[in-house]
Amino acid sequence: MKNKNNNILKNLTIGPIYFWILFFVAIPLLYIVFISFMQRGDDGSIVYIPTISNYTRMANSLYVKVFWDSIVVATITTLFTLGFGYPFAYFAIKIKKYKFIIMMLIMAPFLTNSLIRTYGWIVILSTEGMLNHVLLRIGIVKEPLKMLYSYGAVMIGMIYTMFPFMVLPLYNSIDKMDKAYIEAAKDLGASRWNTFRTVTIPLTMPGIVAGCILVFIPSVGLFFISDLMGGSNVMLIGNLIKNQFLEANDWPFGAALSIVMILLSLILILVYVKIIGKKLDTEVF
Amino acid sequence: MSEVILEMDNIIKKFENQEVIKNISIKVNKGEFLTLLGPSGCGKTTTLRIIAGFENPTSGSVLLEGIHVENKQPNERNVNTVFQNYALFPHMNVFENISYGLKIRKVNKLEIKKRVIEMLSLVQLEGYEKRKIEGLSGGQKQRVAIGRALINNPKILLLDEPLGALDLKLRKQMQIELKRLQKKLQITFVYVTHDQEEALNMSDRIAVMNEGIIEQIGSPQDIYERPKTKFVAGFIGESNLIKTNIKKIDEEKVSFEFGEYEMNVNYKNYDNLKNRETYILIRPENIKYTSSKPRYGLRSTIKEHSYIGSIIKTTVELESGQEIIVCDYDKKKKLIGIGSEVWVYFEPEDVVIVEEGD
Repeated sequence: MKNKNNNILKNLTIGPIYFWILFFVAIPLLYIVFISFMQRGDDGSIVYIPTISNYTRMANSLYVKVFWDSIVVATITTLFTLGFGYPFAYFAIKIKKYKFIIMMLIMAPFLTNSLIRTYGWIVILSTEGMLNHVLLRIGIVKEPLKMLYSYGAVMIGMIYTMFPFMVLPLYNSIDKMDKAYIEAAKDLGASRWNTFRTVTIPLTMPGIVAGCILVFIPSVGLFFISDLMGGSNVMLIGNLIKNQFLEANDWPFGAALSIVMILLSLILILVYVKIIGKKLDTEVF
Repeated sequence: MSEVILEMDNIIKKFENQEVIKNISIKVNKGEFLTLLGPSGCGKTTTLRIIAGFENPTSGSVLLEGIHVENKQPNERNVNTVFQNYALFPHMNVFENISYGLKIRKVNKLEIKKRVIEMLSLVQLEGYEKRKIEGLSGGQKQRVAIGRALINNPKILLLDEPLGALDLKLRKQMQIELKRLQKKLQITFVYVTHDQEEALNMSDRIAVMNEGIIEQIGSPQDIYERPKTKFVAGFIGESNLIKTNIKKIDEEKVSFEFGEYEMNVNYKNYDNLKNRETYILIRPENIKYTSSKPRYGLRSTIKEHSYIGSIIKTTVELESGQEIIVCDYDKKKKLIGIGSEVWVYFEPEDVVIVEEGD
């Protein structure tokens, strides 16, 4: 009797989630796959005649460059967030007293919309912005610097936005690592650097890989930062896809681009599973 | 006179105002098997960690072969540790774990290989090079941990309750192996345990610790047969402690009160008795009871007999209400019924006078 009740409760809780995934994830995704093999009508409507031209079109050097740039931007974002994030997480854990405050500071930006935070960067970096104002005042530059609307500005925005996604899994895996391993390495004669290199890094690899994936995949597709901070000078996949849907009215091509992007992400997740192997279900997050 | 390899002088260690080690001074001889024995929280592991270099003493000095090391990093001291839960690197196999110390010192590959093979045979793990740590049993992990430490030829091997995670049978077997290994290699072992049997079985000397001090250092025989304090007497083996008053101390003997009698024990063991009111210790195997009045003895009542395999343990109650345990190896003897009046007695030479302790 009790068991039956449990089952009803279970279905009641899980049911809506199935419903959600089916109607808001699975079906739209299948629809995207479907229209990616269709054609665009002259008026921007979808013409239901099968074709693979949406995919072959991507071989154009213009689109290859967009993919390439996106991957480069995402890679640099990942490397920088890892480079800053690892020491950050490492020392946040070492100074136990302020661990909580430091992590709150990392989490706090989540309470504000990331779009608004990106506007914040525009206020700082624009030609008439705060940073230029300060630089002019103290006389470091004579002319205001053009910082906005460049790859550099996009990078700053990306790194800033993605930083917490890197720090959280790193923090978790460093925090969980048994400190006895570090003591053992030191005991066996390893210097701080050697201990870090041969023990800490390999043992926190799940966190490193998780952080890299959590940063890399959204970075490839993120469009509003490159839109707002890169302007017309920067075109990434996210922007391209957005344009197909909202401006060019070429939904089939937009859909095809999305599918390629999703496949790219899947490949990365497979690489991740390969590296972490069967440890996937343990202690990554 | 044997050579001193480690000397700790007036070590004090505080953690956030809590004094974990109150004042410890100890000398360890080369090739010795020294055990730090005590209940949890007595400071024995902290003492070991100070020797290893994981903790710096708040004050006091640590000399390794006469050189001050108290402020040196663990990697700058030639001592190695076998950790309580082994702390074997899970991302390395057996070979990589054992060779870690040599690789860090950039020993050449052929030499590493040769020494690891030798070490594997020493710890009886031939053929296990490629094994993953995950798949090893507790005893095998233990051997890898010992091999990983010993391959660096440490001046001292520190062992932090290394057998704690093993089952009883394996623990006994490893005790024998460890002792054999230590004898063979002539390496100084400093061993931490709370298991008195382990300590008695393996050590050359035992330092009994309690609440941050060393209560007594001595050979297993000393510790067991001539404990100096009530704590040591109670911690090692079973003991009957009877309150007494010291009547007289002179050159040859100590006279103390025992019921209506006055008894004497040899003086030389009790050089600095602080209090006149103290305790006498009689081990259960040295105490006897009889139904006919002996030359001297204390009146008591039989409370309980219990059969524990090789011995019969009898609890008797003295007139003062204190319970005394008597062990009898002669199981064929007819037991005296519960509630009967008896006299307990013992030989004066089996009595040890112990102090209250600090």
